[in-house]
Formats: sequence, structure tokens, C-alpha cells
Amino acid sequence: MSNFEEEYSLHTNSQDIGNGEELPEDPIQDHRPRLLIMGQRRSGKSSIQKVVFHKMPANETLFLEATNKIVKEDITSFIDFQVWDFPGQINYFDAPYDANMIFGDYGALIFVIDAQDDYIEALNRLHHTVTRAYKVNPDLSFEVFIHKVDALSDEYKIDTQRDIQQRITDELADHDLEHVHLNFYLTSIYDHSIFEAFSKVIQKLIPQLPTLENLLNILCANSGIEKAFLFDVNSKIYIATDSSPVDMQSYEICSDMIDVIVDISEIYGRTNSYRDESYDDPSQIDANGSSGNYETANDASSLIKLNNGTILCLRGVNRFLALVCLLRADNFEKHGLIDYNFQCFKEAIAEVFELKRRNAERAKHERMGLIENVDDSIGG
Amino acid sequence: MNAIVSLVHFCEADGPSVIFCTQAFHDNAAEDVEECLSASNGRSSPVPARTILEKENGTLSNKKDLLNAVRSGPASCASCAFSLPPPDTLGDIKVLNYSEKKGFKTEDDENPLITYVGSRYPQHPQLYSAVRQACVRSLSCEFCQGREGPVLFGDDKNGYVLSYMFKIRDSQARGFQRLYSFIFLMTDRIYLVASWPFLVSKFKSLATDLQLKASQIFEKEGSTLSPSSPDQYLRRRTNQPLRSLVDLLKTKDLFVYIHANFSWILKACGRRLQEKHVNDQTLFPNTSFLSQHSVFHTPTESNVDNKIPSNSMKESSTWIENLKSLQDMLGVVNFRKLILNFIRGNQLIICGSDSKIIKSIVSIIKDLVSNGCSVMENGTDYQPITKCNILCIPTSTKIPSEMNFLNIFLHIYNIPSKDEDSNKTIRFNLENGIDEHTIGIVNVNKSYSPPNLYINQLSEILNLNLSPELMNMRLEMFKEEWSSKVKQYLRFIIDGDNIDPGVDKPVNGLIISNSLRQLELIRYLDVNEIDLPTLKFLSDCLKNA
Repeated sequence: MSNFEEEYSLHTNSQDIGNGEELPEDPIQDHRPRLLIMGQRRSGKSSIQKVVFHKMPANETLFLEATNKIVKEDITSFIDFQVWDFPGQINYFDAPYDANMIFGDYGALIFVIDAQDDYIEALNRLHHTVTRAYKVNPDLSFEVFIHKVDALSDEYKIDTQRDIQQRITDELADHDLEHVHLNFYLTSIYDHSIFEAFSKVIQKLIPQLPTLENLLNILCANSGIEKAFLFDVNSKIYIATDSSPVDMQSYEICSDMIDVIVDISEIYGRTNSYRDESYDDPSQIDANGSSGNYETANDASSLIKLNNGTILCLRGVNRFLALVCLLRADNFEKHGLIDYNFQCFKEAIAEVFELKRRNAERAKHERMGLIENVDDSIGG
Repeated sequence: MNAIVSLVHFCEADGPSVIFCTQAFHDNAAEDVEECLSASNGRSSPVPARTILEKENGTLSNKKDLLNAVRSGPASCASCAFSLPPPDTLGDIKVLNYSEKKGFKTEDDENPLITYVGSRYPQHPQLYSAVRQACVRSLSCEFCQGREGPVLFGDDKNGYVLSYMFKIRDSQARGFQRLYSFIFLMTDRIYLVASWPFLVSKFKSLATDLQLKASQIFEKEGSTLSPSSPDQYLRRRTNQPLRSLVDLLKTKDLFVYIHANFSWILKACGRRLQEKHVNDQTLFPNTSFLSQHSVFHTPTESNVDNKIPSNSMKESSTWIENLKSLQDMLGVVNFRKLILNFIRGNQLIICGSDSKIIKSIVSIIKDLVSNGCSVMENGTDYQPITKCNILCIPTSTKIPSEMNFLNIFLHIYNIPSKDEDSNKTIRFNLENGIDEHTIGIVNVNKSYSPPNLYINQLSEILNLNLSPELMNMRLEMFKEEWSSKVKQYLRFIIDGDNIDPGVDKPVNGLIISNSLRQLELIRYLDVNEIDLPTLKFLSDCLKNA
């Protein structure tokens, strides 16, 4: 069995995962990518972090204290990354701080702007941040969250975004930095927009993204699926989707479905045996607890028929990931085919991450080897 | 001691900011701000500081105006502002030109040269940046378990900082809490670490005091100020600047209180520990190992005489093993005189060329007291008693003629022997110093004086015919007994200092106060008045150790 798998995976390596070959050079192997959340004070940085990664209810974020130091958080999931939440009051480009240490690593800088407030000052700060951080690390990707848009009308939202985008690109152009690309997102913690924005930010940190998208495209084309999302179950961030455009409603309904399944499995799906197994890996208790059967068999599945003739379909992929699809009821008639395609997709995903794991292990062994060599030379 | 005490705050608008600083100045050196930042080490008790509000005069205020102009930015925020109490609350305190005041000035009642100045920032630019950095680092970098409590950090460039972080409840603040910290900044890390328990306990009580006040007000406000909707709640808070600490705690003279506390901490901290320059040339004298040797090892010979037997010479050259052999060599009378003088705090000067024998004598004598007495071995010139208690110099050294009874000389001569095997005979000669019989007369005005207890007890022990192990044990017990007496004496002096500075203190041990307390102590310790100089000397040694 294992022999077969190995052969199979070796066989598929070169075809499917072309960009996987470049992994060893990728900094992701050495450092966790960083998400640096910056912005003016009270713009909602800590709230975003709490809502997305701690499942804090949005209205409870009102009572958060002011952040007084950089709060670093390690997220262990399908990829490991760090979230750094900065206090808005402190300028980390000042002399006493080591900008290289903070901005030098691979990752993304998320700048949060409070859209309900006067944002002129925030824009100055954004400009300053971008220019300085770009100087330190040109590889950083810059993301701007125009935040707290829940209270704005749709029209006003668009206007605000256009205004902010215009001002900041003009200003960057004035300083010969027009080639620095900023991405803008309208976000709010009271709806799914913050998850969607985070999804897009994190997708950029995933080197396997094109492979995953390609796999999803193949799946969708061959199974009559309209839209498919590959979700990280814990954070409800989707790490990949097929190349058809994402509309907010389909994302929301898929995200809600995960909530439903998680809640149901929390109540009914968890048995003692599951619990015992999930304790094997203490860091993942939360993940396993909430995703129940993903851990054991990866064959969790759920089907919800909607009254407009579409079907929501969820399949567990591995202990972090779940695939959620939207498809027409008529296409679901051939569900044997769909099941088979799912199975193939799951195996392909497993191989993608198996390769990553092996690379990581190899790098680790190399380091260990180095250490052993050092020990030997000391001993000798 | 150079230190600044400061109150810092993580302001919601400005981030970490300094609210208030207190530093000590020497009046006569107000010009040189850097040097005058030393706290008092006055010897008497800290009476409640007399706080006088004054328009700061002279160079100080000029500098400050300049600097305030430069750093006008962060001062505008109400929540990190430092404010003076309105004049009407100050009562009998002298108020001069209220509107132009920028800080507090407290004069030290006991040391008129020292004033404690409380202001928003230190005036010296370098100090300002050090305080500022300490503030930023303690509030936005350092982590303390539970985010309340002390941390210590720093480096040689910006000084070392003890920061006591604490939170104050505020119904208008985000998370209903505001983060503050007391910081104590100084350059001497070792001093700071040694002061840790004192500073932490003081900061803690001060912080608890503020927290208690804030909690009471928070409870009161909590019922009246509950927002009806989250939105309203947010709006209200964004538009309304946070209150200053004075308004928050509803204590008008809060900063007077804080300043008084800071000044007291500076003063008390200076009194608690004093930096001392040690003149000991051999900082870790190698003789200390040898002295251990004499305690725990049994001497091989018991028949040590003025003339050291030849067979011992071959083994370990010239060496004096222990007190008993020293007594045997010097003779009882001379030995008593030597020890008596040393134990009364007189300077012992040993002249001789044989370094080994000198070393052994020094180690034996030094062993009588805890490590605190200062020894200068291999000295070349004469040093006064203020520099060292035991001085070893070669015979060739010239000694000033104006020697008095506070010095005792021990001359050691080596005389070549006629015997081929044993090379040397050693002769001792004592000069100067006080005699046992004169002491009593000098001190107690010709009345009957009981003999010095210490030397009598020591002689008694040495005269016992004990095995070397037992003798060592007995000597250790004797030293223990005296050290416990000395500890009580020291406590008495410190307490006397604190309770009533007016009473005559036994400053140099020679003045015997008529106070009943001292007589009581003497009776209690089971010593005589004549032993007071000994106690004094031993307690000094204990303090230095």
C-alpha cells in the first residue's frame, strides 16, 4: 500500500505540482509567514484578529482593551503562520525598533483604516508605512482593509473605497512608488467580508495556490459543480476556490454551512472515542473538537438541499480542510461520479501537502544533520 | 545614587507617555544637572517632606521653557497630562505666582542642599531620552505575568529600569482599564537589584492605593454610565478625551501625593544602601582560604614557640597556624593588646618583610570579624585608618610621625639563626596603641572599669586546654555569640535613627550617651560600657560585609 502510494506520488509530482519543486527555496520552509496588522489606533485591528482567529462574537470586541504591545500569535493550520497585532499608538519605524526584524520576513502587511472616521490622517500613516516597509522589504505584500463599513450604504462604501484608493495611489506615485501594488478590501467584522478579505490575503501566502485552484477547476468541470471552496475549518478562511468569480452570497452560505456542521458535530458528532483520539495532539484539540470526524476518517460529509434548487455539499478533506460546493440539484443525480471525483480530489490534495511535509522534514533533517556534524566535530 | 522615579502611562491617544518625574538636585550644583541628580544619603529619619510650590528659578526654569517648547506635542492630551492642584486646596503651603508653576520642589529638612524636583520631564536632554525609552519599553515591550507587577531591564547606555506595571479601572477607557507604570531608572544595575525588594514593596503599596480609589469610583460610575447601545457607547467614547488621573481619581492633590511618595522613595532608597568604594587592593584576598584552613584543620604542632621548630619549617616554611599559636608567639600581654586595639577599631599596621608570616597573621586576625574589615596587603605607603583597618607595609616604608594611640604597630623582625636547620627566628615588637589599663580610665572618668569583655572571653578560651578541633569549635561559637550581640546593637542604632533622630547617637562609639535606652541595651546584651567601641567596630564590619 505504502509502496504504491509512494510510486504514485512520485509519478504525479512532476505533472501536477510544478511549482511544488521550488519549495525548498521558499522562505515558508524556514519562517512562518507573517501577517502584520497595522493601522491607526481604534481602527479595529485587535477586533479583527479576535473575530477571525478566536471566534469572538463581533459585538464583544467593543470591550477589548487598547493593545499596548505587539501581540504575536502562531496559527497552526494547513500552513503555519503568525499574526502580529500592532498597537496603533506606536510608530515602529522609529529608531529604537528594529524594522528589519519586524518587516524583514516573508508575509503580508495589512493596514486597517476606519471608514467611519476621518481617514485623512490614516492615509498619511498608510503612506508612511508603505514607503518605509517597502524600503525594508520589497517582497512584502500590502493589503488595505477599509474597515467598519457595515454602517455605510453600498454607494457610500464604493465612494469611500475609490476615494481612498485614488488618494493613496496618487501619493505613492508622487514618491515614485507607483509600482508598489496595494490591494483594497471593504471589511466588517459583523459580516463575512472580513473572512473573505483574510482569505484573499492568506491565499497569497500559499505557494501551492495555483495547484489547488487547478485541482478545484478540474473537479468543478467534471462534476457539474458551480462553485467550490476549500475551507480552513477553524478560521472559516477559504484557502482556494475555482476560477469562477466569487460572489459574496455563495461564500456566505458556504461559510454558514461550516458553522452549521461544526455546531451539529459539536453536539452530536463527538463521541468518547473521538475525544480520546483528538487528545493525541493537544494543539489540535480545538480543531478536532469543532470538526469532529475530520480527524479520524476525513470522510465527513453533509448535504443541504436549498429551496431554490441548489445543493450545498460539504466533504472533509483532512483535519484542517473541508471542501464546500454549490451545485444544481439536477447535476447531483450523478452523485456516484461526484463521490468518485471527490475521492480523487482528496488524494491529490493529500499529495500536495505530503510533498510540502516531506520537504519540511527533509529541511529539518538537513538541519539536524548539520547539528550532528557540529557535534561530531566538537566531539572529535 | 543617581535615580529618577517616574509615573508613566499608556495613553490611548499618544501611546506610551511620561506623566511625572521626580529627581533629586543638589542646590549648589543646579547648573550641572547631570551631576546633581543624586539622592540624599542623609543619616537621619525621613520626616514628611515639606512641599513647597515655587516658581522655578534660575537656570532650571530657562532650560525647561526651552524644552517644553520643543516637546509641546504630546503634552496636549488630557489623559497623560500632569496637573498641579488648584491653589485653594493647598492650605498653608506657600504659593508663588501660581500660573507659571511647572512642578514641585521639595526641600529636604535634614539636608538643606538637596531638593527634590517633580516635573513632567527631566530637564536634561539625555535623561529625557533615557526616561522616554524606559517608558516606551516598560509599557509596550516588556511582559509581566498578569500584566501587573515588577520587571527589571536595561543596558549600560540608557540605564537600568525597574518598572512596576499596574492597571487602573476607568469606566470610560477601552476595556475599562488603563495601564500605568512606576519606573525607577538608574545607572547602577547592582544597586537596583539590591533595592528591588524595597522598591517593589513601596511601588506596590502606592499602586494598590491608587487602584483602590479608582475601583471605588468605578463602582459608583458603573451604575450611572451604562451605555444604552453599543453604537452610542462607541460614539461617546471617541469624541470624549479621556480624563486625567486627577479627574479619574477625583483627588485634587494627587500629584502632590505622588511627588511626596517619590521623594521619600528616593531619599529612603539612598539611605538604605550606600555605594562604598573599597580600597582593598586584593579584592578577593587569597588569605580568606587560608583562614578557613586555620579553622577546620588541626595544627600539626602544639608546641609553637617564639622560635619555630626546624622540622615544621621544612614542610611549610614560616607559618602561624591559629590564634593560639599567635598568642603563644606574642606572649599573652602583647597578644591581648594587639587584639584589643584591633577589635576597638584602631588601625593595625604590620611592618615586616616576611610576607608569608604577615599573611598568616592577617588571616588569623581578620577571621575574628566578618569579612567587612578592610585589609591592604602589600601596601607600600602609609594609608590612614579611613582607608584600611589592617595595613601591611615593608619595614622600609616611612611612617608619618604624628601617630597616636589609634594606631598599633606590629613589627616583625627576622633574625638569622645560628642553627643550620632552622633558618629564622622571629621577633615581634608592638608599638603605640592603647593599653588595656588605660582604656577604662579614659572612658569612664577614673571610676571603676570592668575589663574588656571581648578580650577576656577570648583569652579564657585560648587558655583552655582543649584539643584543636574543640578549640576551633569553641572559637566559632564565641564569634557567633558576639555577632548576635552586634546584630542587636545594629538594630538598636537603626531603630534609634528612625524613631528619634534628636537623641544623641553613639556616633563613634566613644561618646557614651546618657540615654537610658543605651544603658538598657548594654545590660540586655550583657556587655560593659567599655565594650561599646568593640560593638561599634564589629557592627561596621557587619555592615560592610
